Amino acid sequence: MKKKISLAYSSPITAWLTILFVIPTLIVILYSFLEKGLYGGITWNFSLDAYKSFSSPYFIKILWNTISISIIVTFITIVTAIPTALFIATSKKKNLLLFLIIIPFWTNFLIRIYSWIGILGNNGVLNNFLLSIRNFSLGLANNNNILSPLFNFVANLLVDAPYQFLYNKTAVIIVSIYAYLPYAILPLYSTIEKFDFNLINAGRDLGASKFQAYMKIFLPNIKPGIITAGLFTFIPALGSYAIPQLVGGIDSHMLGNVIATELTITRNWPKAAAISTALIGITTILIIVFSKYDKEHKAN
Amino acid sequence: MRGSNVKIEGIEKNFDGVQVLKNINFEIKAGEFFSILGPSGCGKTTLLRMIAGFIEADNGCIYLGEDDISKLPPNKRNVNTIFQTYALFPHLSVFDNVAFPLNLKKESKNKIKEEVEKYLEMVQLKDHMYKLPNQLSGGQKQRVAIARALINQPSVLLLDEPLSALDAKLRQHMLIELDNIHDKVGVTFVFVTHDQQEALSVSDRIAVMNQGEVLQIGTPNEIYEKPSNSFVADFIGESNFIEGKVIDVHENYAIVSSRIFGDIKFDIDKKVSLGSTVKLTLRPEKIKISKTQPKNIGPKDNTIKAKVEDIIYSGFQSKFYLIIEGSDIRFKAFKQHADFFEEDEQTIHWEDEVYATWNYEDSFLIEVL
Amino acid sequence: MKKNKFSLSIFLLTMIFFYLPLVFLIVSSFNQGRSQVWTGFSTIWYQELFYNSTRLWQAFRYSIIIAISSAFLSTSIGTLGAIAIHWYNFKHKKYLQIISYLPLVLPDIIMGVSLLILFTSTKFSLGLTTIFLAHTTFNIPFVLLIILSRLHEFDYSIVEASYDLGADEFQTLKKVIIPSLMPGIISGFLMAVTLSLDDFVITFFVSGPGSSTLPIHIYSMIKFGVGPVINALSVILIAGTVALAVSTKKIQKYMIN
Repeated sequence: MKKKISLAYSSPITAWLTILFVIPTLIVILYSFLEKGLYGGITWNFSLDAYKSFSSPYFIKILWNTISISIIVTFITIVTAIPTALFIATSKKKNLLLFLIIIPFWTNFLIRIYSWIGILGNNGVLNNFLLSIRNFSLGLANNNNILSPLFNFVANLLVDAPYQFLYNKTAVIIVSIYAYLPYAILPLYSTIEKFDFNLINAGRDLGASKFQAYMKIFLPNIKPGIITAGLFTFIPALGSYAIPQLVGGIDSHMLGNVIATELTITRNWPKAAAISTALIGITTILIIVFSKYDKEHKAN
Repeated sequence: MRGSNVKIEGIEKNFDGVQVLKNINFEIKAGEFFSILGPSGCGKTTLLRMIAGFIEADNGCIYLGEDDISKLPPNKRNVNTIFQTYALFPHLSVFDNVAFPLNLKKESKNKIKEEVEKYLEMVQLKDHMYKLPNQLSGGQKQRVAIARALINQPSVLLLDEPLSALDAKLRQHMLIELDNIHDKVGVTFVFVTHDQQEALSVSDRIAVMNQGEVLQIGTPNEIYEKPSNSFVADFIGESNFIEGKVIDVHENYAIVSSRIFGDIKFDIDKKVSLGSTVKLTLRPEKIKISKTQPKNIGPKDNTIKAKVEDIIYSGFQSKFYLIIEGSDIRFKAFKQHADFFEEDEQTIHWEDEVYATWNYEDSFLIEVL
Repeated sequence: MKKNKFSLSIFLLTMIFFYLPLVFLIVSSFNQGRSQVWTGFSTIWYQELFYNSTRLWQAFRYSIIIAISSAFLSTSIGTLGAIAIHWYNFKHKKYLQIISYLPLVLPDIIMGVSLLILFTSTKFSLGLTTIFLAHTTFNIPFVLLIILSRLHEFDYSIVEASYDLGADEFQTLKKVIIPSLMPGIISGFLMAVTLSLDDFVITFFVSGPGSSTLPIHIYSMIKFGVGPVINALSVILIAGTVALAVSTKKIQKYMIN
């Protein structure tokens, strides 16, 4: 009887996820080992051509872009998220502050990307600001007073304005940080919340300076939170598509863009599948490595 | 409402390699207030849940009256449970909680109202009918659980440590109420507890369990005065134990020689052989202690000398913990302060040397080692 | 306290970083001109938004329909699955636990690509149905997670009490388990609606011509540089999000009391 009931509860979800998640993923992996069809799609011949294309200079550049951008983004995000989460966790108005973090989080993803176009664009807020400083400085320099050289200097610094802040690697990095920061703050917050701050006091009591106490006691104890936050920033960053599409340029194409192009334009399905399989592989390895680390950490 | 008898036959259960129940066999009489008493982990809750139907035995059968209910799911057994945490449905009012079983049977609205009010009246909660469980106190929740379990008219009511979540005074009160309800309703009660006071005070019979086995079944008096082994003797109330070799056997008594206590007379109701090692048990309240040599010693009395190591005074009684020279065993003697002032009485203090005296008919042989 | 000043300043910078872009967005939505240079206050873009954007409103309608329907289905499937995982043992339990965890960690694009390939290979035409199927699929693990965490604090003895009092599994589910889990179920449902409304990447891959959701429409608006109408839309969405967030908090507070 219990068996029948457990099947009744577990079958819908198992069936659904198997058909619409497991099988498609397996198909992707399968297709990566097939040959490209003449007009796109696949033909049922075994071929490693898709993986061989990984060695092309173009692909290596994309791979490098993706990994380096992801690492930079993750690093800056974590370094910013830790003090932010720390501040919220130790504040008396935790809930209010958390709420303030969550609101942008709930705002539509694309809108948040778009808001930076308005800032970084040639006609955007930042450039307008710099332009107005230049004009203002020029104006003051022309009044021929003691500070003229200074204003001339400033104006000269900004001679090339408006600057190209958009459609390049920098834009992708800035916007990615903007997008992923809440995803890093929340798990860090929940780990820090459970941290016993008396340990810091104990450490200081034993002679450590504030800085040492935080470095040697606090950080090691929130490692699980840091790892979770890191993974939940790095992995989505690896698979970025919308951000490089909207604010990136030729120097910042990422794996996601290539997958989309191969899938829809070039219609080289095996290649798109191969890149996807590679992404699946990297992600799975990262998860396994870090969950093993987590198990060891818990055992100790 | 009449209760049913429950027959447990050859029940065994193994959990993860641990034999949690080892060949349990006994019968609970119809309408009895039957308690299963034992320390945590002895298997009493497992056994109870088996009667309810939440756990299946590896071997054996359970009979409710004439019917073998071993394979029936809980919802098909005419048995109801009072859970330790009351398990009231948090989203339903008191009324709807109690009406739940009747709603399942799709009884008419009028009948439901009538029955629910009747049972809430019985547990004195009619005024709280429309409250939610989180608005009730522990004792009130308990009573809702009772009404809800009884409205189904089960033949057996199972109570899984129902009083352990209540404070001491409330526990006493609820115990008496449970007793009253049992008398009124006539259903067989199977009451599981680790508190021997509870079991002794209300049960018709008690089964003492330890480590998956039933050690003794009897009335509270039998269990207390005639424990069948050391565990029961020590678990129920408090006991002293005396071990030694039998050095003399007479018609009604024998003498055991103990290194610590000396030569002690003890009551025998069956044969003991000379030279065998035995273990005696003696209840502390049967021992009289005095500072001076007791004057009225009879042929049936044993007397020993000891030093008072500890006294615990609880108003109506004093517990004396004595140490006998040459050992570190604490010998217990309890004295009830029935009279405010007793003749020949001198107050006993710590470190005093005292005489402990008892009648050999108050002690008995519990084990032959 | 030095450390506090440090984390305070980082926190403030982060807050400025978060909100400044949104502030600019809101301000320029009221700008008369198309560029970021302020030429005067105007609600012209809002008028354009409300009167001139039928395709946008259709996309919005589709988004809502898909969000609510996929949330319903995923919440139902996810809740049953959570009950199975938390209270029962069955042969494929480990398998289920793995496949319900994986979608949470794999990048979105993988799911988009794999579903696109699945649908195309099986000649299933891309459209609202495929979007619905995709959304339900990625929502299920989130709902599962939420319900599972609620089940950890769930007093199982009320389920036993229900059986004890004569209810079978279906009656117990309907009268005891689901009502008691309702706060969690609603939480899961709302999360699913939010995720669905916000999704871009997966929807992008599995949508067909004419089946646009709001994020897809916004994407093309941005890509083709439609202008400050997007800003007006953004402001409306932000206001809607804030209103939703605030009212959710109020509902939560109300339910606790």
